[in-house]
Formats: sequence, structure tokens, C-alpha cells
Amino acid sequence: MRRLKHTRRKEPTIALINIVFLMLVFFLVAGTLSRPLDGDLDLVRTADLEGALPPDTVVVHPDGRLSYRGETIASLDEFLATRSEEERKIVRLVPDRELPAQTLVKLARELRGAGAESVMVVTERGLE
Amino acid sequence: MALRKASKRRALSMTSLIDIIFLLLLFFMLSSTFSRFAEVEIAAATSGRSTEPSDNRPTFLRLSETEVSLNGQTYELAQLPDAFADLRQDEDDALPVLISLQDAVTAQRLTDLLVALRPVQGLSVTVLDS
Repeated sequence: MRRLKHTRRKEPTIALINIVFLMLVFFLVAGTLSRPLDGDLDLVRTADLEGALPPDTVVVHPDGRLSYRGETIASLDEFLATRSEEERKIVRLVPDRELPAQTLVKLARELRGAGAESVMVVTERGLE
Repeated sequence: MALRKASKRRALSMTSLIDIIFLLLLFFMLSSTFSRFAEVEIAAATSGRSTEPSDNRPTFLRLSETEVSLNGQTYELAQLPDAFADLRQDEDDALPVLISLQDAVTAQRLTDLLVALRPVQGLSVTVLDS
């Protein structure tokens, strides 16, 4: 049926490589490599804040479940045990936006009690 | 010159070049993220440790899902910086702010408030834990 098509000219390879190179450069420049957060998480949205590095820290799900690098952890102590002395001073939390604020404050207080000097909430910046 | 010889060699094989470039492209497409992050500090009350004494009277801010009331008066989030400017008696001293959370407040709402309070200079914010 479609035999005729085989006689057509070869596709220009240089053009193909041009496009693929462009895409490669785009992803190299525009993307950031980071450990993926849990898939079903909606981060708190904010504007007017300076940027921060992609977080590698405890994720708090809407139901209060804690997870670190995709695995559920029972308590914050379990997470703190993997951190060095230096990293325990400033602890970051990644809460879901639907998490009750009470739970967040409770966790922050727990971290303070465990020796953290400041507790940061990681949010997602809108594209301005 | 010796370099001249090199130009006589065969052209590079396109297929293997494209293979490698495609691999790189796939890797960067799948592993890169475009979401940008930011962070804001949350200061929760700790038991048994008091903040520095201040000449300013502490203010009490009650946050619910729909409204913010500061010392009993309702405000919009955007009006808060002006409201704090009126409350401050001693410019040099920190103004203690106690935030109490109603039941239905989400992390999003609390963060909105903390971000709204950030531009105000000299506040010492404490989020109360019920």
C-alpha cells in the first residue's frame, strides 16, 4: 500500500540535530536537578520571597504523616538522627498547603525543643 | 603542517552522535524540575524561654481562615503593616506579636500571614500552640 513512500528523500539530519541540541541546551539552562518530592504534594504558594535551593528534607503530608526521601518516618527524631550537628541548627519543613497550621506549629516547637535555632517552611514560588 | 592531515579523516558518524545527544536530552528532560522554592521562618513558642523584655506592649493577632483580627479589630492581610505602625510606641524596641490560630487554619493561610508580616521591621513574632 504505502510502498511508494520509500522512494522519498532522506530527512535532513542536521536540522534534526539542531532542534535536539536546542532542547538539550534549554533543559540544561532552565531546569534544576533535584531529588523529587513526593508526587501528590501541593506546596504552599507564596510570592515576594527570595528563592531557595531545592529542599532535601522532611515532607509533611496533609494528614500529618511525615516522610523523608519518599519513605514514611515515624517521628522527627528519626530524621534528626540522620543529620549532622550543623544541619540541625536550621531545619526546613516542606508542608502540604492543606496541612492544619496547628500541626505545623507543633512540629516547629518539637524541632525547637530538639535544639533547632530556626525552623523554616519551604514554599513554592509562583512564576512571576 | 601536521594538523592539515586531520582534515582528511572521515566525517563523524551522525547516528552515534544523535544517540548520545538524545540520551542527554532524555536525562535532563526527566530529571530537571522547574518549580522554584522559597522559604520563610516560623517562630513557634517554646516553653520556658522568654523573649527579651520590651517597652512595647505585646499585640495579639488572631488568625482564622477568613479574617485576621489584631487586638480585637479585623483587618485585611494587606492592611497589617499600617496597623502595626500605629500600634508601636517605642520605635527602637521590638514589638512582640502573639499569633493565635483558629481551628480551620491551614499551612497556606499561616504562611500568607507570615509573609505579610515580613516587611514590617522590628516585630518579634511568636506563633502560639494551643
